[in-house]
Amino acid sequence: MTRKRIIYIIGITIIVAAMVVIYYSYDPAGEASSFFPRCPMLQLTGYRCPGCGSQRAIHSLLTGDVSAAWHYNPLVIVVIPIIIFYFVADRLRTRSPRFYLAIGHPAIFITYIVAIVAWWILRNVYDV
Amino acid sequence: MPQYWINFEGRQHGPLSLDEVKELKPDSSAYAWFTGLDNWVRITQVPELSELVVGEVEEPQSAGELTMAIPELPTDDQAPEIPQAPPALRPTAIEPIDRVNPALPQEAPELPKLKKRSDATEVDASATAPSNLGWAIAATILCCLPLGVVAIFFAIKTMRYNRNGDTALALKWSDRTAWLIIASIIFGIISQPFRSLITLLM
Repeated sequence: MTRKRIIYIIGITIIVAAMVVIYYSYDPAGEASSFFPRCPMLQLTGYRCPGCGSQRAIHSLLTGDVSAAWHYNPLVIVVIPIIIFYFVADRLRTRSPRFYLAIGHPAIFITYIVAIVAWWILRNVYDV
Repeated sequence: MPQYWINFEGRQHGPLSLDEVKELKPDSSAYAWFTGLDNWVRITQVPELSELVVGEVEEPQSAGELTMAIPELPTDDQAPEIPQAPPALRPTAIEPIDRVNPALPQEAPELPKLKKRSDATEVDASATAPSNLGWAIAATILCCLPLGVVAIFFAIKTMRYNRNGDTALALKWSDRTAWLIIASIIFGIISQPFRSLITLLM
């Protein structure tokens, strides 16, 4: 393990831990809402972006209210395991290169883009 | 669309389009091959490729330096021809390029040999480049949709080159993906006070 890698892992761990503490302790929809970043797209255009509601969803998820989290932004609930999966896959890619190439097929990546854009359009059409 | 194979810094890349050769930034020590050539030639001998050569490397003059370069070439048995190749190949090197498309049947006997090579590199592809897809998806959803989508397309490029066993180019695109994600995060953080200001004013 190289020094760079240790710094990378420690850095990521600290940032993730800090985020978890912040999003667990404060409700982005509550009194502290002005301290949380707002979506530029919603501010400027009035349309929601695919990630709108993710801060409230993460707060709900951390405090154990899964149905509220799903209500705020179902995409985030679906995508968090996928993101974690690809983080781990990137780190362990040398152990099974064939598996890594299989899960990294261009068609799968295109599917992610299509799913995100489809969700983005549908949530604005149906106002979810 | 003519396609090229490049042997550069001990690695074989290909098939590549002209743009991809450009991306590879070969120096003048690289060798090139395309359908219609009997053997590898110096990249500087192919007119359209020599324009893409970035670094000048001293031409190997002595026999000792030449034998250093020869083991990198896929066809070792033909290696002794290389010193003689430049004068002989120069005229033929120009013609086959224009005839690449009509002469498609020529590709059939040559390609399997090279394809097998790239398969071989794929089998021992222990050195794949990370796609950074997790970051790219996070950037798309949380940070900045346009930059994130571009990052996912970069990740696709990385995985395409990983698939071809072309680790050098895969690493290049992997780095580009990483930098794009870092840029989108920095953009997200820097723009935050301005966005808060806009909310206050509106």
